[in-house]
Amino acid sequence: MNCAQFTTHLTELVRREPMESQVRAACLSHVAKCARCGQSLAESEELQHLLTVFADADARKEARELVEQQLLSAFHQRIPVETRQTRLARAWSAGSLLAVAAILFVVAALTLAIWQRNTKQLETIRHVTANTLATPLPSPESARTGDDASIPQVPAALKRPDAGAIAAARSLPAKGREAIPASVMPAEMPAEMATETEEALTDYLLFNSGQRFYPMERGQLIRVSVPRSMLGSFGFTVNPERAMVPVKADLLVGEDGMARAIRFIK
Amino acid sequence: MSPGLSDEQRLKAIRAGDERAFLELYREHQGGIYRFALRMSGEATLAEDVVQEVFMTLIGSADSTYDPQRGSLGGYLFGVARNLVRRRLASRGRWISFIDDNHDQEPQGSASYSLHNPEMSGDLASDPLVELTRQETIESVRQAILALPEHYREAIVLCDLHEMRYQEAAQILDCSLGTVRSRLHRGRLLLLDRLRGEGGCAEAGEVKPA
Repeated sequence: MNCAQFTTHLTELVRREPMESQVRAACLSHVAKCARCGQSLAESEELQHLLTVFADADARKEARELVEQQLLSAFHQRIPVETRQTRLARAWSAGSLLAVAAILFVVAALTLAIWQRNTKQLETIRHVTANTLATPLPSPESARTGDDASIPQVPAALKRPDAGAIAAARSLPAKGREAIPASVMPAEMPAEMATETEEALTDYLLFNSGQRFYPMERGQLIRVSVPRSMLGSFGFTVNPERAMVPVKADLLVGEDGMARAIRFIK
Repeated sequence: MSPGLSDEQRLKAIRAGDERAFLELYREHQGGIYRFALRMSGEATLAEDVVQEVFMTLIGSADSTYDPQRGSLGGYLFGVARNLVRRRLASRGRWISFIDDNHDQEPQGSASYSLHNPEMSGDLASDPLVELTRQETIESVRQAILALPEHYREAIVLCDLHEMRYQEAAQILDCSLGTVRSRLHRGRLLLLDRLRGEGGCAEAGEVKPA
């Protein structure tokens, strides 16, 4: 190793940088032989010592506390701090979204159920109307003269049921609409109507008080509570002690506001 | 430091507003950055400004500029500090400071110093004279370093005073490892000349990196 080669390794030698052992040995061997390079190594090591002393002297120097405070202030201004409240608010917003979705789902389900029920009721009304009251509107002249031919006739199926059918209806189990004898069901009444009105105690019973009804195209079913004694007016036997106990009924009201038929609900 | 968190995760936490993560990062690096700026400039006020600006940069654009593939977060912060110091030093010549920057510096002494001062190599006694001599020596080294050309000064401050490896210094100085070695070697020779009192113009002795 010559002096120029030694000089290129001088800094690494003094700084104890990792170097090949052969190179290190060659450097030390050269120093032993070359006084000038030995002097350079000594001065360089002295410089290293001075630098270490200098570095140690201000090793604990750092920016003042004020700088940290100013930076923290800037940090809060520039970056919205995600506090616990913010996280809670985010959780709340996610929860409220879920709640709104659930409410919308329930509302949609209810709307669908109501729509289906209304559709079935409308079909029932149409069916009853078609089978019972869809007769031509009597002319004012005939209405005045009381021409019976123009007054709508009540089909036999909707006339007051006989006593046997009523007894059979009374003996029904709560859910036993399917078991209602065919004699109670109007002959024209479709099968789906029987299942639809599984809670019904009776079929639709026409208000046959001798009034003249105009044919109705539309009507409305109204769930009402009536005194149990009303059952008696349709031929049912009523316990006098319970005559005032209310019983539910579906009232079929025509578009003219007149009650056309009724069925009692168990 | 947050246990088990990578530099990226720490930055992400800071960007999300995690004050604790920011404070941990600040307290971990502010001292080194401050001393680097102080040793490069000799001005405490400038060093504090640099610390502040480095972390303001971190707050403002941590995600967009830091690339974990290129090195550690500490190296990145030193790189930002280095650029800020260079900018400040470049503009310093055009302005006169009215601020007393020596609030934490020792009294200035002579820039010359005998390399063979026996008191520096032995144990420092509580003798006031020894302590005074030590302070003078430290100040001499400080002045000698400040008198170096900037690119040599950077190499000496990072490698000798901050005890960084060549690779780390190369990342901060944005140059090759060989350039760092060359600048360090040449800077040390210039520093020796300064401390011997030979002084001279450092730029005159500048050589091209090997």
